Amino acid sequence: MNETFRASLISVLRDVLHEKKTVELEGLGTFKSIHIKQYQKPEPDGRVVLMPPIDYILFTPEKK
Amino acid sequence: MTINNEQFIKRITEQSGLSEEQVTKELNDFIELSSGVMKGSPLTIEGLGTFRLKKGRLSFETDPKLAVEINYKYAGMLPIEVKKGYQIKKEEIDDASSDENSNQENISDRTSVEIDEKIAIGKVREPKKDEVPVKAEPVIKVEDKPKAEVVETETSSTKVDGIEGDSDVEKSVEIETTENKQNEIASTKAEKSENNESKELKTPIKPDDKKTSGSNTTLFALIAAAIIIVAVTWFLSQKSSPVEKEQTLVSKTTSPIKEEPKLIEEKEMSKSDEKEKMVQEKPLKEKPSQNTGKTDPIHTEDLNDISINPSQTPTDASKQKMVKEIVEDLSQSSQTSEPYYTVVIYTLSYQSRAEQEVVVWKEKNYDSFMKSNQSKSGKMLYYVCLGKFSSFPDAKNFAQNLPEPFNSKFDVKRLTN
Repeated sequence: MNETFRASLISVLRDVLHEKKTVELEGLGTFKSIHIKQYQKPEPDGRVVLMPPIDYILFTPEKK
Repeated sequence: MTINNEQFIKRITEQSGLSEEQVTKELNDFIELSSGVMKGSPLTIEGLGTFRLKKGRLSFETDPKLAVEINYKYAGMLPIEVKKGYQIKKEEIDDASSDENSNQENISDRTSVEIDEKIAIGKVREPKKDEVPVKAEPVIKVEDKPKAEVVETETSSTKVDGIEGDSDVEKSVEIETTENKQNEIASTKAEKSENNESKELKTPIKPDDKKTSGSNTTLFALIAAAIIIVAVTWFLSQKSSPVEKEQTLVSKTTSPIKEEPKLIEEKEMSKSDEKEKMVQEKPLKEKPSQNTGKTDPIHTEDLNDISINPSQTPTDASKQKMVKEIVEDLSQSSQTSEPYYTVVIYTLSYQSRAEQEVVVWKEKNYDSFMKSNQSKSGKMLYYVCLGKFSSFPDAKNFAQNLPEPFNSKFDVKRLTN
């Protein structure tokens, strides 16, 4: 794979996901950014921990 | 909003500088490689992630660097332990239940006291000894019977012919009888209520209905009184404001003559003030060191002599200069139109933080500058960039010579402005 193409692919994908859009590649699948709000998580010790919010990439393969 | 292959290819061509044909070819090869994971081993792409088979489906695991960049808003956040006070324990619940029982007992005492007070005031009439107890009558609907009686009287009165006077007397008599009956019914009801209340005094009263109803009525009364007071004050204020306006208009119309001497007086006062100032200025200019003890007015000329603020340190002034240079670079760079490559080390959402990073890298003798980009969603992103290069490999070589961890965590962007 060409390095310029690889770098530009990564940067474009990142920029698009920052804009909260989905990238749909025919033959592969869709890339989408998902936000999870902060939530309280009880631990087995009995403590309660507040987990911070997260943005992450969700990939769904194309149905064939 | 989704982006197709075509739009994706356009963006890559704009950024990379390659032709569309090359980009489409590369993209198709990439798709084939990733789809080929279904047959064989997983595929890893540096900076992007790994494609694998999981439960017969293609799965994607992002590269940690890319994951951090996607999660740049919350990158520094860590889980926090919640304090114990926020947890509801069983002990607290048991304490609350015990408090409720104690409140019930107090409420029962209060009801008896309130009723005694009402009797003392006269609101509730005690049953008198001389009164003959009324026999318990069957349930009577007061609304129905008197109406029926009235109708009957009217019909009966109309049936009487000839003597008009008698009909009127009969009408009046019948009306009086109906009124008397109504009064009797009302009295019987009041007595029944009294009897019931007397019985209730002896028995313990439940706090659910009466006590709360009494307190609620007082609250409603207080709220109604407050609303009335507020409304009255507002109404009065509105009335007074137009009256004041009229008075001002009247004063202006009636006293035009008086304004002229006032203007003349003001001019004279201004002249006199100037003279005073001149007199005061002269001695201050000649002998500023003398302190007569009087409070002399402060003049702007004296303040202008103070050029340097002693509170400012040289480092703060230098930093302010750096910030100005950054702003100037932004303005200048917007004017240029030739494309070039830069090394992006930070993508931030706060301009102040980006400016700080630029200052830090400038102190390290790097050609750092800041670029802003507004996304279509409306958010502003600030890139901290190092250097300007004519080709991609030059930028990459420069980036690889940066100190850790930037030599591995960077991005090369092609910019036109």
